[in-house]
Amino acid sequence: MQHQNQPHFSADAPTTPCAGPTVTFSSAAADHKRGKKRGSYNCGRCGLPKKGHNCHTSITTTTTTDTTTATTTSSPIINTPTSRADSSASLSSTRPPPPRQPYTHFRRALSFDDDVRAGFPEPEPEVEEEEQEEEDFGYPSMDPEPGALPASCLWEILRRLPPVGLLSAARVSKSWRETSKRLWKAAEELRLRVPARAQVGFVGSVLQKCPGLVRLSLRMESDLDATMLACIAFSCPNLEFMEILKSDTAINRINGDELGRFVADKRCLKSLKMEGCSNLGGFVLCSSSLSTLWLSDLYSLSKMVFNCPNLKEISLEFYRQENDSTDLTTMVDGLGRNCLRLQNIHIASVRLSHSVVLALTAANLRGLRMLSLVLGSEITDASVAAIASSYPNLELLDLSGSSISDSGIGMICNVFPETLSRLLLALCPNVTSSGIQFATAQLPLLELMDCGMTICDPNSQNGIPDESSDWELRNTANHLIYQKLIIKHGRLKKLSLWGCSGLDALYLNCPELNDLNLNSCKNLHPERLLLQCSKLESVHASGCQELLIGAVESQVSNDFPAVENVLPCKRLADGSKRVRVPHFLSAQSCDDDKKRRRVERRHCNVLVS
Amino acid sequence: MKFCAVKQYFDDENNNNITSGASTTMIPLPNVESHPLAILITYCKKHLKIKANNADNKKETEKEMEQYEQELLKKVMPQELTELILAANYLNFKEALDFFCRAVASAIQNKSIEFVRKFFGLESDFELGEEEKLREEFAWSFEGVDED
Repeated sequence: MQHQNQPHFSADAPTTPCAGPTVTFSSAAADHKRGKKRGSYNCGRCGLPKKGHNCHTSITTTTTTDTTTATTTSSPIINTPTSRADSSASLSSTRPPPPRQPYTHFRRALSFDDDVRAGFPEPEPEVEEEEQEEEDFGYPSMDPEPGALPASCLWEILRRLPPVGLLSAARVSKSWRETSKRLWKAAEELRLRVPARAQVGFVGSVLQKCPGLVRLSLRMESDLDATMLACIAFSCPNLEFMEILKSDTAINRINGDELGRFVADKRCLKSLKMEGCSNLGGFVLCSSSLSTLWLSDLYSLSKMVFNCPNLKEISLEFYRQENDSTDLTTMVDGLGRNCLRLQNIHIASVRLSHSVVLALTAANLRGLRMLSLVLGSEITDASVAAIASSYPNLELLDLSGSSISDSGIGMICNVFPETLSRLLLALCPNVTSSGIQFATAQLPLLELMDCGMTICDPNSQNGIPDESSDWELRNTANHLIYQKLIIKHGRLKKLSLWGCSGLDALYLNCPELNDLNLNSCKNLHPERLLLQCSKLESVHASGCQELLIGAVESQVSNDFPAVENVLPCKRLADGSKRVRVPHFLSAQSCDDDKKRRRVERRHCNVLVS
Repeated sequence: MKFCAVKQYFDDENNNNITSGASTTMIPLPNVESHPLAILITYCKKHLKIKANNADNKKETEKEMEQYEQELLKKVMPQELTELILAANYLNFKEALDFFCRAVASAIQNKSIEFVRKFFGLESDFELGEEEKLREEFAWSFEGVDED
């Protein structure tokens, strides 16, 4: 019932007692400090922010998850016009098991967490566990019987059990009960799945076993209401990070007053993330400790006041309905006045407009480094001008879904070349390939570029007929004007051109490129594709023509001629002269093998119709 | 040197002994049986070998290690796992300890209490009422328990 995933050991060394590396948010926090490095693409049922399906498939695994629950980065691909593949660049994989949070999906570029759901399952002992081990050895009444495990070994085993396991372990014997009690007390982090028919007091009884809890993550499959919040508030006095995820069927009934009270009472709360906030109605949040706030599915809020002077990161996702009556301008105005330390802002709402941007630029947010204002079709080049003049040090700019055009890109390239490393302009219909090319030429630090659904075939139809007939149709209707894209960039790591059905030629010379998304590039001509990217690890090509997929594969696996480095030279057998020897004759096939393997994996991507 | 206990022994030895006969010194390991020790040594060697082979690529290392571990688990009897844990603990061999603990945890996860007791050769030392009380307290957590 309650369920926590097994730790995902694909990252580095498994947890050791004192290291406590499997801490979700610390690496997220550190990532924010670094500010760059990772971004996760999100397929969206609705287009941009949400990643829905990926996390659901991972979470709905049963309790017997094992270490290979790799809801991995080579993710399911949905082939609809408004979606794109997930790809996450876990560039900082040196971090100890990075947090896998199912809703990193809607963080998109601002999140620095991998898509993979890690779950370290069970409560983690504190750093003082060393001390506790001493205690175990010397504890008189716990002399192990011959053949039984000493307490420290038992601790190690029990640590790795999910909460259910731990609770039932308490019933095995007295010494087990002692150890498990101690384990609960030492727990700092808990991830719990609250099942749909959970009894009242379920969560409370579990929470009361771990008063030292610092991080709590609840996946609600039953409804969430104020009693749960009160329960959490009561049982976890030291709570600093709280995350409430919501399955599709659960309803989050918390209203604004209750949330406000919770936030005000919890003096240590640093991070609050909550999904499904459609019943809030309006709130006033006052907290001097809060530094991260993520709320999603917001809808029609009468007022939103953030009295959180230390707020560094905020993410507000509005439920995408046209008749949302929230006054974003006033809200942003308030943010600008009260939360001067903001560094990362993400707002997703169809009601975003130029006036909202003006309110933002009027504020003096000196630390602003990441700005993401998505889905606002009323955001224009004028907004870009305003942003560029007020916040010239942005590292990430995401204006997906807006109406900016190539001249907006020009402004971006004028102001941000020294800092911008991520630029996301998906679903911007007025952006053309020349704008994209200009951006890649002018922004030397660019590492991630998302141009999904920008270069669209003006003659394309919305239905998805089967591929072969579609191709013929297109060929016969040959008065269409397609665009081509030539990109040469020394640092670009991730490039997404999903849905660019107006693209028919692509030339890429990006030696650092790891990930390329060509989903639904229906008209990309297989003979007008040149990939000179030696580090390419994955190419997403669902929804593309078979010939194209074949062309991609052959390009990536036969990278020899494309590599600009000189081929190694060997002397001919008769010693007469040196000739160039292709790579396969020298003992350097590892990289290529890996790439080939990866290509094969890509080839197995599911084409969803 | 992965066997930290042994390493420590060597360090101490070097401090005490001036003669350099260290290579033939016998190190007493009273708490370790020969069988688990043999397995641990194989594990260690394999681990180091895989690490050396895949010096650059961490993912490959992990993958190969996992494969090796899976195979190892098939060969080892569940009851031996406890011995292995004890040995790894005594030798202070962190990676092996973690691996075997994980293996045991996944083996007893979701199993009934009787199974766990049998696995470890333990007996219930609860008094009559206590166990019932515990069972009631968290009745919901005992749904969905696997068969032995």
